[in-house]
Amino acid sequence: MTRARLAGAVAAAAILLAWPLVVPGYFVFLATLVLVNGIVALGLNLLSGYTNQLSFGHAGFFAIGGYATALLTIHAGALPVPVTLLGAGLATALVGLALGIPCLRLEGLYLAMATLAFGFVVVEAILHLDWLTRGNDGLRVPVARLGPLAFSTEASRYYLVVVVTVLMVAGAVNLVRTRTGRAFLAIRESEVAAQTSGVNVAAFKTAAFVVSAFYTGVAGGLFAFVVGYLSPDAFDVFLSVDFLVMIIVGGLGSVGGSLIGAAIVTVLHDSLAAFQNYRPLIFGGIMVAAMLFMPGGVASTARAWRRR
Amino acid sequence: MLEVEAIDVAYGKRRALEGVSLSVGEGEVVTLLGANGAGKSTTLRAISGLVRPGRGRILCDGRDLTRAPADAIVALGIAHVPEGRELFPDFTVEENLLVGAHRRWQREAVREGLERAHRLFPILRERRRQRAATLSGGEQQMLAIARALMARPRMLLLDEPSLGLAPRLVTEIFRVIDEIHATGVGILLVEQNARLALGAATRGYVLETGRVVAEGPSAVLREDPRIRQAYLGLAGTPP
Repeated sequence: MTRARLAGAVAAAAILLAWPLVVPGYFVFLATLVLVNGIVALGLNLLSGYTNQLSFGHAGFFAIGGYATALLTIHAGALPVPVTLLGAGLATALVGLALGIPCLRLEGLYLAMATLAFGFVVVEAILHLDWLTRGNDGLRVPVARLGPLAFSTEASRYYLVVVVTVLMVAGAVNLVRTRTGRAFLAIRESEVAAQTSGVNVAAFKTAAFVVSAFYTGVAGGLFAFVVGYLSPDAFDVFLSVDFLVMIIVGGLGSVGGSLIGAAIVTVLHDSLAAFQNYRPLIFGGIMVAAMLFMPGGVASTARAWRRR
Repeated sequence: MLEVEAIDVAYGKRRALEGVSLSVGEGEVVTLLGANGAGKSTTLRAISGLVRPGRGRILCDGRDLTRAPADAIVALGIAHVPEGRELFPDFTVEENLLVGAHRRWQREAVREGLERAHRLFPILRERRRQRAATLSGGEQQMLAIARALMARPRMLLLDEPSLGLAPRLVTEIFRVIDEIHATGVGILLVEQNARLALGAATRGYVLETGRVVAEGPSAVLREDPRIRQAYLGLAGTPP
């Protein structure tokens, strides 16, 4: 690591840690949401950005992670938070496996349609399993606990999310730098060449689904704790599109880009709250503009600027 | 080492291969000649598992790999340099080679493989941090061959390695093919330049509309009047 990068990392860590001490509570909540969405964007990017499998159904994984966490906390409140989140992540990963295998045969538009349908199925399932999920009434999520610690304040939840995000980012960075990450990207660049190089394309594409679902499930769990209340209408198709906007604006196939994209979209969402009805229009416009003028997202535009 | 027994391949309704049989011995160089659309590339794609034959069998050392997935076939020691090179354009030269070593990822094996690739193609060492898309056509072809060799195959399937290259580079590619052969690697070579191909190979097969219409030692094929006329552009009878 160069000195400049080290300085940057130290500054980022300082800002991240000091944030709740210097800004009002609402901005702590907003930063928490940015990080939660950042984890989803990372997971989605591993699937769509790295192996070129576009998903319009990640709100479904997000919901499964959220509900799994809520139900685990309600029915097994003694479990420490890390175990609950891990459980929610693994449960979502299992669903990812079940969806990933049939999706192997699908590409492009067909894959988009299948994942879109998956998102709808999850919402319908939540509505119909009302003995478990309380359907439209929604589910109140108890406070997260770790031994004697209760994450009952905005700041404490923020720190919980920071720790999980750091772990997830470290995991993603390690993954993409290794042979596995290279195989993911190789599949995106040329499936034929990946095959003739000995990459088991089917296995890696499925693995991408599983990892992506795991990330999104864990993020869904954090989301449940952060907002404290879950209802199926929070996980509609527009949320899936938002996730896609994050990685397209931020940069497909980039870890840093995922986080930047999540920050841009989350903050924009918040500042556009007054214009609810125009939201899809504004977001659609941003997505089209991003694809036209910065096809590689913020991440690659920044890289190009640095090279000048 | 490699036995192809009467395979049929169809793309949808269109028959691409009908009853094609061929064999390549351990360390042997064999060429596959034929016009465009005769089924040469399809034959290679069937061997490497990219397309599935409807009938017939493909054996490697007696093991049936007709239904084996492409990555398992690489693991058995058969590496395919596909038509059009199929590099990873946004990867650097070195990253391309590293994907080629996907199944031989142990540090020592990778280092050894990179050294061998650099010895065979010194230009790839110079260009190792460059994106593959920025290479010239000849360099890209070399990278494609080097990437396939990273899997340490016992047999290489080469699809039109000289396509679109300047004559000097064609000579260079054939020098490399000789060098690879000298290390004991068998080669099944699809090539439009029949003269060079027959020069490099000990035996050859001629495909026409999906069937093998002639086969034999290179020296014999070179004297065959039909082949002289159709593929070598010479008068029918040898002088």
